[in-house]
Amino acid sequence: MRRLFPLALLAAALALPAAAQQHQHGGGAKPTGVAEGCGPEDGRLRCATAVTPALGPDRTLWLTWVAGGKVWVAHSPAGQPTGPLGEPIPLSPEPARVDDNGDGRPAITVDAQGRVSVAWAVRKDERYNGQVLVSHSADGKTFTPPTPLVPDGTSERFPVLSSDRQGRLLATWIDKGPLAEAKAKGQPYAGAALKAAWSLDGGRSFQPPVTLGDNSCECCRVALAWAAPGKPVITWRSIFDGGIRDHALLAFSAPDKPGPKRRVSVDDWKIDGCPHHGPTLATAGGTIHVAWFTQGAAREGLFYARSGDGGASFTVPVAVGDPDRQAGHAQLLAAGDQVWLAWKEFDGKQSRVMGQLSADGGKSWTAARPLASTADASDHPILLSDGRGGALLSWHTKAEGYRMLPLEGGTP
Amino acid sequence: MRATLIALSLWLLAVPALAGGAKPFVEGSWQAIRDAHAGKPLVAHLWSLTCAPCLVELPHWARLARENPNLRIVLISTDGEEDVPRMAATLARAGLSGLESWHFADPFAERLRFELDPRWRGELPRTLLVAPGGDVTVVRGRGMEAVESWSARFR
Repeated sequence: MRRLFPLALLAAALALPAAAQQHQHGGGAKPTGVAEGCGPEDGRLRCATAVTPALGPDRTLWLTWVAGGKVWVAHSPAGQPTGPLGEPIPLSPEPARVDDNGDGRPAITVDAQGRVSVAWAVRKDERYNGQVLVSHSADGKTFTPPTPLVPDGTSERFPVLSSDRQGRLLATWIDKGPLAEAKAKGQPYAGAALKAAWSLDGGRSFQPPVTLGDNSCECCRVALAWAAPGKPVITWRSIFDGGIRDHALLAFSAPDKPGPKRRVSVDDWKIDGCPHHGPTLATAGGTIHVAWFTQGAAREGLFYARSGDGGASFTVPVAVGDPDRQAGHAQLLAAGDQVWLAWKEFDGKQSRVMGQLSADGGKSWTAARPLASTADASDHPILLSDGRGGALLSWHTKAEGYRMLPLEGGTP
Repeated sequence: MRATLIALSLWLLAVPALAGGAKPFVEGSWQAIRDAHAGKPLVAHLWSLTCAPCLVELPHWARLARENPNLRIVLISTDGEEDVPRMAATLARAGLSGLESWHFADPFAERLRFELDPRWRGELPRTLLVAPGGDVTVVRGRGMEAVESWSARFR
């Protein structure tokens, strides 16, 4: 059984040139979680609280983050996902209140042609209504001014972007439009809605939104992966009858044919509250792997299950991590029979990203072991493919800054 | 001059109410709160401006406080320093300005959560009921009924 740990502790000291145009205006409270020495309009990566990565077809690492109220991107040299980052590019002309905490964070995808799309949510008011903005680059150098993903929407937040290998891009988000429509008619409506929109030009324009699921959790990140080109799989925290916030999964049989909503697991978590804790999803070789957090009557903690029949049925959930160490915010990545599972724990002093590896499609796992640690505030960990059958761990921490760690395992 | 002084002192008195009296909640604050209310039934309600169900429930906390003068009710918001003015306005609207109020003042939120409840992953609302003997009962999500039935033991 292979062991899973960072190949090198050379945490890719991603030295970054200072972002241009750092005007220092006095006043304005510094957002919590930002590193020492970051001014209110400081756009440097080290001043971010949440960093989202994506890998391009030529193995260029792209990162997006929010700092100084603006959304930024930067990328590594081609073929060097752990290489030094170039000059950051600001995508938003003016500082705004951008969601950049935990599950609410900018999304980024690079398609097979190297076209880069970034989406983020800005707050429209004090009532947590948001608007998703998209910026697109055909050449990875110049980005379009941000435009609304939904031109006349009510409230859209928690965007996720993903590209298949054939030029299709799917955006999903949490939408409060149906809630507003129900309210206007004096009807009850639990939670928000899961909506999605396709782009057939790499993210430059989007088709009209479709509702994939009513009554979604309002504040949990949606997970999206591809069973095959044109066939996305989505899992999200949905509100079932009786206010039960368990996980749903939907697999498309074609781009215009979303399948039925399935239930991943009956955890029976009745909560009229905000878990702020979305699921994770990976697909490989016809298997769908899912991990999620629940505090249900049936089970409590972090769990993993898989489906070999497109989501029609799932294996019995297996507990992951140490519930007395706040195990949460899991990430899954799959390549053939190799499956990586990582999550975050806290022992009272240190936060650690823990990991375990399966070499048989999720049937058996190595023992959990620490992959990285920090003694201060940190972002959620993110796993991504290194483009050669292996896995990378992306983690931003307040004290150490951004880290990109190659993990063991994968196809030799 | 005298009128000015009176006006000034009234203004000074009003400041804590305007600020909601929210104290920074840091490492050790939970123990300090428990020590300060030792031997009394303590209700610590965890909430946030970002939590819609919390906001719906807030006015009920004012009623609970009115109906249970023996209870020590402490509000702990997971919002940071930058949200303190909005927290104060929200609490004032709900009639809660008079309650003891704290806000998370350490961005290393895991550390604060761990002290309050090691199993808490940040989901809100959440309420910790501390009996005079020190036993802690956790109420997850909106649970005013559970809080009221627990509180009835100490009327």
